[in-house]
Amino acid sequence: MRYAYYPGCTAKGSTAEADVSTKAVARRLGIELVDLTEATCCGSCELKVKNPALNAAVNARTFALAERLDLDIVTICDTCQFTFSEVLHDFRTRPASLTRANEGLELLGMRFAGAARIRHLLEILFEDVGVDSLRVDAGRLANLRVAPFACCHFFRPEVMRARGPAGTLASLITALGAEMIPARTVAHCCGFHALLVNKQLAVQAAARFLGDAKRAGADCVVTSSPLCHVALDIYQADAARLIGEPLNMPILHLAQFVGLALGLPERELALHRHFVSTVAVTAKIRFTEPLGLVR
Amino acid sequence: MLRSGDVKVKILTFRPEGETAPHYRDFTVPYRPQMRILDVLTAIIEEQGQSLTFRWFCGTKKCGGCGMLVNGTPRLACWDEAEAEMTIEPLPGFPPIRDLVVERDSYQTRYLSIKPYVVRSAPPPPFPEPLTHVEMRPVFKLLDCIECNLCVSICPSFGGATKGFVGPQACVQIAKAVFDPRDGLDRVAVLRQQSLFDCMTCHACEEVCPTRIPIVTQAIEPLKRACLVAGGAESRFLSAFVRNIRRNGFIDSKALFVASQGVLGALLDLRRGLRMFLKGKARRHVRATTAVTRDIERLFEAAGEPR
Repeated sequence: MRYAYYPGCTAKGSTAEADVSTKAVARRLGIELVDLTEATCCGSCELKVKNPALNAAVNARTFALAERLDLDIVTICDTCQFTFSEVLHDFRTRPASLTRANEGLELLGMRFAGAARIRHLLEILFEDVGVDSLRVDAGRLANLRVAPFACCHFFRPEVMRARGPAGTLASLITALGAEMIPARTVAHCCGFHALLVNKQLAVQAAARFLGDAKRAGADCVVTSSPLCHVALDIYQADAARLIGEPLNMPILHLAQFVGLALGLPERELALHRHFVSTVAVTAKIRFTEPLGLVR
Repeated sequence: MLRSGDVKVKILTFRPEGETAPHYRDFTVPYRPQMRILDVLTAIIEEQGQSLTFRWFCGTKKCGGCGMLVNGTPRLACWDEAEAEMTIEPLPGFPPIRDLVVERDSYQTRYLSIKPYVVRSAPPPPFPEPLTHVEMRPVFKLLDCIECNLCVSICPSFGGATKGFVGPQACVQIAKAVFDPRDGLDRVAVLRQQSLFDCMTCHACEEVCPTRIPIVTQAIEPLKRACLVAGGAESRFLSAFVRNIRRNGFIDSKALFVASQGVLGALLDLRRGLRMFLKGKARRHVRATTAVTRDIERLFEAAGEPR
């Protein structure tokens, strides 16, 4: 299993632990991640508003880099996955867009033939690794009540719905032996994309979900998006202040959750890098074998 | 799927003449094949003689009147099948008037003030007006909107009937006029007051839209783009984001924070910044290699983006 690895900007900075834990889990599962060192930002929800053709060209450049390696791209960010999928869908349904993007790439001596496959880590776990092989010890997470929170971009936009997920965070949580708490409703969003535009509004959105997850009895939240992690973890104190009640809801990245199921040491999963302490989570994990032997 | 038996319904009802707060009432209705939510509500009145107020008119997904919250999801009562157990509540985001009827006038007044219709700057040419499908393509899907407000009811960014983000439904109406080739009104000033950049792009509006309109991609994002042309404070974050990509190749969150919040805003949030640094959340290399940024600069120039 070898992939072109695209962690995205946030997992390289504000949620560096997402990148660290992904690499730790990949090492353990025998997955080789080839860094796309020359790749750039996917443009998120902003570049496509500014200039859709430029957005297409910038992303075609990243696709071309992966195509050169003849590897599928693996993302660990739901928004990068959505942006890539949207651009790729545009290229496949409107060949003129691809031609235009390639005109830009020609200036750089590059070309995108259109063959790239963009896959999220969650899909890799379901389709290539197999969820069964992640269950080293079925009882390890049995005491843990986990609320899944995928980014809206992973399942709401038409292009993502049409594609259909290979698996969901909810089914992964159940498959790994934890109790899945369905706290998410259609009105929930973490608010990330409004954080630097209207902080009050964004924090309100985060607070709404975190409050509901707490009331539903979740011990922690697992997210497949580093952006949601920023809103739900780094801004959680603001959310608690807003609703006037303590939240103390640990937020785990997808790879950290899988790492815990595999028995990887906390240090390798960089749990200490969170704003909200994850001690309440690790305290509920049953370690049935010494950690050293698990590895 | 329900095939026989009873439909158990819990409805949040409210009588303004005698009650101070809404409360749930339970009903049981015998199931009939192909029963819709609307049929269940009608049976409660017509077959059980109960009093229940709700809005509906066409019964065929055209009038957009029968939107309500069913088991936590906004739906059209006329279009969705009844489930064995349902909790039905009025559409959130709007003040309830009575039982399942909500007050829509204030919201309507707000978006009517934005003139969500074609305003010509010159008298129309003689019939038939030369208008091609290519010219109308940007608004085709938007014409499907039935103004049911399901999207508004769950929008996490919606500011309400008087201020803040105007809501997805109004965006569809305005976009229909803005991108109609016959429209001659300069709308940028009014658009800039609608807090369009508050939209979190969560796409929940698209998920619940009964006519499957790509609201974010075909209404909200093009409207944001129209506002960008004029520049201004509301699009400061977006412009800073794009400049950041152009300069660094990727996002340097510290620089983006300062550029979008200003130096004062950054100083006020200094504690968070310091904690992020101590937690190892600061990017080590804030710029891609020169070869990469040169590539990006070339693409920006080729796309006609001025420096």
